[in-house]
Amino acid sequence: MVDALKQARSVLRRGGILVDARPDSRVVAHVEHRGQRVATIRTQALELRDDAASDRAVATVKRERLLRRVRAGRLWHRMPFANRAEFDAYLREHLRFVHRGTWTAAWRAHQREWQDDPLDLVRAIRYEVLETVPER
Amino acid sequence: MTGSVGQFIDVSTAARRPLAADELAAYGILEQLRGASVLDIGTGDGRLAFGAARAGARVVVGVDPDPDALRAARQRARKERLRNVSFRLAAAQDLRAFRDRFDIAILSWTL
Repeated sequence: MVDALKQARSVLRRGGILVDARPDSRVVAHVEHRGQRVATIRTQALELRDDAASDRAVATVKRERLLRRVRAGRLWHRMPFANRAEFDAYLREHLRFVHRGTWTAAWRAHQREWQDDPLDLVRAIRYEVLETVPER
Repeated sequence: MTGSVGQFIDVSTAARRPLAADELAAYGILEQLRGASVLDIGTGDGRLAFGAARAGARVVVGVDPDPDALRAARQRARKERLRNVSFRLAAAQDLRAFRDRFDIAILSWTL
């Protein structure tokens, strides 16, 4: 990953910028039903390790003064699903998330009634805008 | 980081990814994209590459190691008659061979 970042930097002009954006697994994704949180969806352990490795790679190129942070932030990626069945099918095929959510007591109490209602999966995306540091 | 108060963005439901325009706006680079040369690393179907072109980039190159994804991206570029967008088969680790230099490189969901 460090190599990929260094290669990306190598194709930038002086003063060029690099945007690194990826799912933020430090924030647990959640499911909303009518605006209320009804489940949390954790990230798979392997993906957490990969994310940590990516973080270390970015930290390395900053420490080596190849790139410096211009700004960073987070945005929320909201994915709509027609109903619980569609959401479950998505989760089964998903590579990052664990395949079963942790559903709230409120959901479990009403799941038959709510199973055909739309749901939103809300996940955090983190980004960092980095600028090339001129070589001395 | 901005903390838990972030910005909600819409999605293109087909790909279940954010709309490119929203994603690029969230990064705060729309102004810099105008007239810029852009390299979209891990471009996939070219979602962000097309977004950058529409945002006014002078030239956009998308790279990805998946030939099927690039085929779809090239078809879309032809269909939408976007002449300033091109695609090359390459992984993020293959960029050293590139002679071009870019104003902006994007690693979106790639690293």
